[in-house]
Amino acid sequence: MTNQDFVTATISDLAPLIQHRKLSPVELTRWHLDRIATLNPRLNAFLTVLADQAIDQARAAEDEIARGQYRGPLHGIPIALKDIIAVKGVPMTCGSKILADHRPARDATVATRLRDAGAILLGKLHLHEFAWGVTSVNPHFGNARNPWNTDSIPGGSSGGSAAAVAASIAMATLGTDTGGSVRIPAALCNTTGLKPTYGRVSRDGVFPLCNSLDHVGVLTKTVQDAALMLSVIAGADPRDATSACRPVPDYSQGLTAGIRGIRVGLLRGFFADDVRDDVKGCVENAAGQLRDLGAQVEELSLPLMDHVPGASLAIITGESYAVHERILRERAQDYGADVRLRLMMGAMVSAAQYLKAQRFRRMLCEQTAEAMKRLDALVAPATPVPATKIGQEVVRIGDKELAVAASLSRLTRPANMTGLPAISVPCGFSTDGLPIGLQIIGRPFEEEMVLRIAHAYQGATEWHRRRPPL
Amino acid sequence: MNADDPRVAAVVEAGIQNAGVRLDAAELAQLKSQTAILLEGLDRLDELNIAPEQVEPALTLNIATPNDDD
Repeated sequence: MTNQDFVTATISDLAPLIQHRKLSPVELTRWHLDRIATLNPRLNAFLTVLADQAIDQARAAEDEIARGQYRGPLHGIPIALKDIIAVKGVPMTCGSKILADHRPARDATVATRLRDAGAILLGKLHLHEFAWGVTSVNPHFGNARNPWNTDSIPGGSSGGSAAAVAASIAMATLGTDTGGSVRIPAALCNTTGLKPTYGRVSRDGVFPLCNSLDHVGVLTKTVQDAALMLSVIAGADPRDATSACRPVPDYSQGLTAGIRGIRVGLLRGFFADDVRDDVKGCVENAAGQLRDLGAQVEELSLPLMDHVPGASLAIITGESYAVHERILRERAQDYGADVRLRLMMGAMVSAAQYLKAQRFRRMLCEQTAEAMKRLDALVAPATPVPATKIGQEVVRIGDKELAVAASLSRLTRPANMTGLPAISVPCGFSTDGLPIGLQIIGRPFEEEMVLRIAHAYQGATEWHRRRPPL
Repeated sequence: MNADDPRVAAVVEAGIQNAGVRLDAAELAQLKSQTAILLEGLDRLDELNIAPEQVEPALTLNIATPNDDD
């Protein structure tokens, strides 16, 4: 295969070649390691590269496959994990100098599942410090950069996870999503990013930001690859009390069923306010594509969404403060200034206010569930604006100036508050040439429907095939 | 609500004391400004008149499906 073939290749393309020994996992892994060596100095997507270990794993995979012990579509596929997910003996910094020397004693459940599926671990990926931010601007490890414009942020907090997939230096990655941290960078880097239902994927071994909002998700080049990854990492886990005991379907099975007759709600109101015109245009076009594919698209507003920013801020600041309280008291100056401030805000939230926000959350779940009785999915922009410049603090939308951090996470937070599955897929480019994401939100544990709609959209469009000019 | 609101000052003073963290003047100003936003958002929830006896906080193990036995 040529260099360009590997740049554009998906897991779904390469898995059959590996299975039938037409492609060596060692060759594929070496190609990725060479590309990491070339591109990572510009992108800062990887914090740790496990070159020797990856080659050893690739050799073992090759031997197993030669002996007829093929494990499945991830066998021999080079992937990487956000550096907030534990891998035994491998540094896990959480993007902070506070944990610079931390080496976990055991794997996170998702790491074990990927290892058991035969995936090759290339390394650990950059993130916003402790996942508490959406820019991946990081005072301890430098800033991760967007492959489409290295002066721009890749989004966050899983910025390295998205940049790595977009730049083809990993075939798939895991991220975490508490307020949009998988979907935001996916949108800003032109990758596919799936946050499953709360409880669908174990968070065991993942450093918490906010327990009641945290999710593990996947970033891939295509929806088809996201389905492959989810099929491996989903499922009950006794180590995570929030993990659901529902059976895990083969998420690849129903992908090609089409969307004729599927009922889709195009979110207005909160989801259309304070959104840049070029983003709105791309989402309108995407809704038109879904209609052309046979979906019934209707517009709707969910009035309670207006309160999501206030309530989610109270929950995330309150819970993250509870996680960091002791370290903050002892080592406040070792946090980056932005994260220290966000953590301190949690000390301003009373128990009564926290519970008020959680009561609101229950109402929000009920209102959304009621609306979704007659709809199979909701669609909206993933972010109101494309990637901003590194260090940029405010963004102009119409005649308003809004804080970058609050703006970028505004439209993704609702799916964290409701726990609903949500995906971002590429749906166009801004007037300044940066990627834009379409968000598709499903009913609880209906990832299959979310993936089916997203796959149909990717089958009809080419946005996800575009690669950054590196 | 703005950062000069006496309620913001009171909340921030109590919060800092509780946290046991020292902040410089610039950080304190930022914290007050952000706390004003936080309190305003929480105050707006009062417009919804949520009855505590009728709405259970979303603290069950599976938030997405609160009635699920899982």
